[in-house]
Amino acid sequence: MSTALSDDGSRIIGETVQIHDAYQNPKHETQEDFDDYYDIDRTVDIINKHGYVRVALQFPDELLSDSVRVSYRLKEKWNKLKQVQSQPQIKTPQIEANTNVSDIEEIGLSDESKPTQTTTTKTQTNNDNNTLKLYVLGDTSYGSCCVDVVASEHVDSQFIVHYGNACLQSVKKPVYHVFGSDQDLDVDTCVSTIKEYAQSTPDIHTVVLYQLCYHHIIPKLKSLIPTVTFANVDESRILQLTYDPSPPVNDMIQIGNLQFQLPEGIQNYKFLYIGHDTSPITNMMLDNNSKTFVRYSTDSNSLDDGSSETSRISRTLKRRYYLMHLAKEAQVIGIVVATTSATNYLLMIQKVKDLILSAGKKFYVFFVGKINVPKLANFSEIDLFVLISCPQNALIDSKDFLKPIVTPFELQTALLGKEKQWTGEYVSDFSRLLDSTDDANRCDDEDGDDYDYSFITGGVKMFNKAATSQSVQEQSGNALVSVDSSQRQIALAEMSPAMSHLQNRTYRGLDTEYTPPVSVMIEGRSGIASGYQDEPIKKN
Amino acid sequence: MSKQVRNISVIAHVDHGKSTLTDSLVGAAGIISMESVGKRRFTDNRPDEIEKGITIKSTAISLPFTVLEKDYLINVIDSPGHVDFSSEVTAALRVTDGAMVVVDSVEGCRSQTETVLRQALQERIKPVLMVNKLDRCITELQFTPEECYKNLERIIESTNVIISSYADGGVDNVQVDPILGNIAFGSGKTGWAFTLQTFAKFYSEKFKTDTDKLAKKFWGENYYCHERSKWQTSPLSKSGRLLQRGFCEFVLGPIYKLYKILSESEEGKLYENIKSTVEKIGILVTKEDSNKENKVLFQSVMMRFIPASAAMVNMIIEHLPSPQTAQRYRSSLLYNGPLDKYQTSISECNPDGPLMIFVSKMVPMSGSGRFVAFGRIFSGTLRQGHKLRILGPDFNPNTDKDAHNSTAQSVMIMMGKKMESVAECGPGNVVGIIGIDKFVNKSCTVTDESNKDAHPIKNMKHSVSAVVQVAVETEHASDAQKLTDGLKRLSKADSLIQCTFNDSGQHVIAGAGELHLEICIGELQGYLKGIVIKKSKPIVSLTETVSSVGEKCLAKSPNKLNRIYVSAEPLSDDLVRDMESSDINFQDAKACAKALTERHGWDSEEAKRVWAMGPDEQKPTNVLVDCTRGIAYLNDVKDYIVDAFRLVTASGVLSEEQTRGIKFNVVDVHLHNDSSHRGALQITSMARRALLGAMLAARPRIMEPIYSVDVQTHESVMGGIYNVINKRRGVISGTEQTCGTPICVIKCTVPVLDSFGLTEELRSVTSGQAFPQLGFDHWSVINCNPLEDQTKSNNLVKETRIRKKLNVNIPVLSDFVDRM
Repeated sequence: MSTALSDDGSRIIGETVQIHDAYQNPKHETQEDFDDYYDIDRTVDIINKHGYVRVALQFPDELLSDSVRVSYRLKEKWNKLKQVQSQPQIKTPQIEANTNVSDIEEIGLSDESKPTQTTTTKTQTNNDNNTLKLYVLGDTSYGSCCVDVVASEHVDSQFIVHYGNACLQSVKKPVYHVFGSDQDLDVDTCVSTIKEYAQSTPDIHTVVLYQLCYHHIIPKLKSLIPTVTFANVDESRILQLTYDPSPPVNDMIQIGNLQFQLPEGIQNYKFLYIGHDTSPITNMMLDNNSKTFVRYSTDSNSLDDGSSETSRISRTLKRRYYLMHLAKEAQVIGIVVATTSATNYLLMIQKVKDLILSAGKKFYVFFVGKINVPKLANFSEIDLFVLISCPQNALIDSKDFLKPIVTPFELQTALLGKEKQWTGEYVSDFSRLLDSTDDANRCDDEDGDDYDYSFITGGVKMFNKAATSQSVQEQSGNALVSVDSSQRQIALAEMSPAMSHLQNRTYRGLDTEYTPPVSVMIEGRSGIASGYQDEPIKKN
Repeated sequence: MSKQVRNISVIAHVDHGKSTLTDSLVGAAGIISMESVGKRRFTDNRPDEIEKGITIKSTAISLPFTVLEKDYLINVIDSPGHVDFSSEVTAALRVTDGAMVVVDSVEGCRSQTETVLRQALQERIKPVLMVNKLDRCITELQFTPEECYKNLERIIESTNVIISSYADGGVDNVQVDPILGNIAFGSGKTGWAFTLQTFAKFYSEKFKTDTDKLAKKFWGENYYCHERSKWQTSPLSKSGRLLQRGFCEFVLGPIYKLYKILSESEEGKLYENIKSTVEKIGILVTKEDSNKENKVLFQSVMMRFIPASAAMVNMIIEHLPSPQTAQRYRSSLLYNGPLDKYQTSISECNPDGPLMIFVSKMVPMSGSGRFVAFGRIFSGTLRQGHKLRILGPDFNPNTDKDAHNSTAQSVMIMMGKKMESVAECGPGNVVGIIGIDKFVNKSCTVTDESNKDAHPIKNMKHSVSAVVQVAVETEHASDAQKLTDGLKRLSKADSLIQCTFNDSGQHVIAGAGELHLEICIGELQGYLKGIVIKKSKPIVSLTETVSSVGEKCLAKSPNKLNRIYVSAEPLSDDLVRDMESSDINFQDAKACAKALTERHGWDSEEAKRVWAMGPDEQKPTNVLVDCTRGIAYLNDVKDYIVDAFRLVTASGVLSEEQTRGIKFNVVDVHLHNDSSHRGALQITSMARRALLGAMLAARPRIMEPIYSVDVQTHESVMGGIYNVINKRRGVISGTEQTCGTPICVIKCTVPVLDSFGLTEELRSVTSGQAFPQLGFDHWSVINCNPLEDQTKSNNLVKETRIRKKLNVNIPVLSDFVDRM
């Protein structure tokens, strides 16, 4: 905490970004390996097929070092393709000119140049439809798994190619996801391990999950082991050309960014995850914490019994349970919006607002970009933050933060009084909260008030004052502070949290009683600061 | 009616025989058979109480008696004697008006006797004394009657010393004196007891003297000269023979005689031997008795001769006050407000006045998850369906905080061991209220719903504090919620235990001692049938302090536009104690400044400029003082600096434990003109770093809690005990020998850190002959530098840091302090 608060900003500039070891060496021996890894051919095909000429390439931090090479390769291939398509035109000099580094912009580092860049791009496109413009997007605003639509808008790109791990949310721009295809998986060992694991408990069905960089290998494994279920990516999300926010209508079970369908009649199942040692499976495990998880480590090509993971999940769950208790006690809640691409995030904000209002508490909405400790420390009156973000970035271990940060699920559980019956289920993806219809069944005592023992303050407290139905009114989404009549009533009827905050302060701003004497208006100077009109004109 | 009610608690040191004596009363009221008196321990009904042979929870029972054709109702609360459960005693004392203090005639007044007696007197509870286990003096120690008398005299004297040092003058005649009849002697196990009046009644016809007059002759330097048939004060008779003291001859004489017969009779022969003797004093032994074992027969004879219950009941009715009498002098101590209609009504014990009930305890109802709120009606009448207003411990009459409305679903009173529902109940009674448990944690004040202006009854002051903690968690996170429920119950039912969450989602239970926690966890396990609880090793809370006046430390705000200089220095122990006991209360700034200057020699200017005391506003242990002059904008940012002070005092620099006894001086502050550059974030983080730095610069030290330990033991095994105590960093302050016995008491202090398993170890080295009593005493500085490697305190700090998952290395000054 000491480092978090005593930050003067220099730390973030000089910070070394943590990159998982596993990612550091996708060693590409040959050009073909490299092209395969980044799926260059297919990408160029798509770009060409749809006639995109302004394309943004979004890289996560760990792959950013390859971005230049990828863009060269893409451009090269694209140009070759164009050459083939229009044989007579040979434009060799232009290729060289275009592969100049100058037109590869790193957005985020030079904001000022953007408008000019955009205009030049436009002029160029007008002039020449045969030039491909590539833009590399780095340092993504929220999580690198989300497609950064806003950044791509800055360069007016028509199409985004997203590299690396993805949460596969539907976005408002055409996007193509390249997961990268790791080759370090030893297929034979993997197959035998999976078979062995599946047979160790034959009555429990095995579901195989995987890190997205092994997506390419799954069909092969599937054909080799037909007895187990393989999760899969919703194929329609890999290449999205149209915006479709509605969840896929099928009976697949969603888990993280994957989905799977169980064979008929199977109820009991366990998971096997294929991935690097460091790959994050926390979310998947949290959402399915009653199921057994093991990890097939592709670094050592062996099975890791997952016991360390399981105990970590158990600890995480206990901590999240603690946070639910804090959420229950919070009077003023800050809604932090940390996504602009997650499906239905506006709906979720609205839902969270309603939830907070119906519990008789107060909220403020914050939009702070990338979340860090000093930013949130500015709002000392907020008791608790609820984070609206893509599920892969939803869990913030908030010990560094001055105030706890919870997920919408935790808030809902706490405010509806369901933590009393909590048995460990967890939903990290808030879009699944939206369809749940059970928020009407608030778990209240007969008389509507909810009294409980508070472990935070150690006394009996009244929680979640049930508000009357009228007070839950439509909130206008553009006001930071809601001032509808119901809230005002609360403020007048009893101590509002803001009032008690103000009361506890000794300094309450300038004295509102004091009215300075009214003075007569006089005419001041005119002109600009470098030389007012009444000043003598400087020589030279 | 309420004149014929007595609410009494039975209090004593552990193992002095409270529960056994209570049995006699219960037996006399006809609730258990007289045969089982002394064995059954009716009030110890929990399995863990039976197993350990000690009382853990106080148990209340209502006993109807008829004395002199008047019906009396005695509500007896049998309380635990072990120091770990003294919060139960506190709760029992609050609802009663009188206390029967039981003292073992061999062991005399012990530490816990003193503690409970002090608590009783502070609550203005009138005591009577019951000297128990007199049979041990006769049979075990083979005292002569004269030795026995001297022993009793000594016990009475030491009891009166305790009484006179703690009596607050609000109650008259709290001293105990056998002549007055507020001391009884007896043996709970054999079921007999007497006051001087008991024997005076026997002899009054023979001496043809008034009983009261005769009772006076039975104590002190009074001798009966048979030759002159006269009472005299010299022990020599007319013919120069040495006379026996009146007490020895007439009171102890018959008892010794009966015991002599018992000891001389072979098994089965007692009937013949004792028949003639007892028939002289009017006790008929029947043929049935002849088949009884000696012990049983003897007990039944003694119980018919001088029944313990009669002596006690008479003493209670005569010498302990009725609620009406007691509330007159207790009301000002009970009521936490001005002299208004509520206080008047309490002092009058008015059944038609406003309802005032103090709930001192929550008793779990068997079978359901609910609780009965157990309390005392001080004024008004409680009816079934009564609309109630419940004032919690945080109630503030100005803001209406922590006040809830509810309805009494039913009103229960104890009839014998059963709870019975009644339609209404008047003042002076102990009642159980069903239907308000949801709103109550540990204790509360209950009044009529309409009494919005009523102040609460003062909360109880516990004599022990929760210094030992243990973290518990479930194996599976999915059971966490059940654990939470269990802890909620635990927290309600035990008036001392503190259950909190730490931020990794573990529950921390804090209790008075090892035994207390053991019992609580056992209980918790009972609530959570089948769920495995993992518990950590006991954790002792430490505190951090400083040991010298430190250099002033400079810190700049993150934006480098503000500066603050802070220094730290230690506070005197007296001052910290005064602050903790709220003798110095920051709420009243003027009185606080006055007390600081007058009692603690502070500079008057400085005393006026105390900004805050913290971290806990109720029991602060640290002070923040503004030593600056004329700083612009300082008032704007004062709150931020105070915030930082609270943060730092709640989690100090060494191991993020609470700090204790530190005075922080804000020496100088430079603030930026523009308010946007001196926001909360800038100032709080700056002040926090400066305060932490100041702590480091003032030679920080770790403090540990210390238990005072009384080990009662046999003199032959004292050597072994000394060894154990020394090994555990204990300091022996003295030993006391009970005169004429090989029993002695070793008084010492042992750090709580080294106290775990002490009881077992002492028992094992003495083959079960040592009985230690541990109670929190004070905080003590560990006198070595925690910043140096490998010192005791350094190791403690590192352990704590590891446990809290902090960086193992203690921060250094340059982490916090900036250069100019």
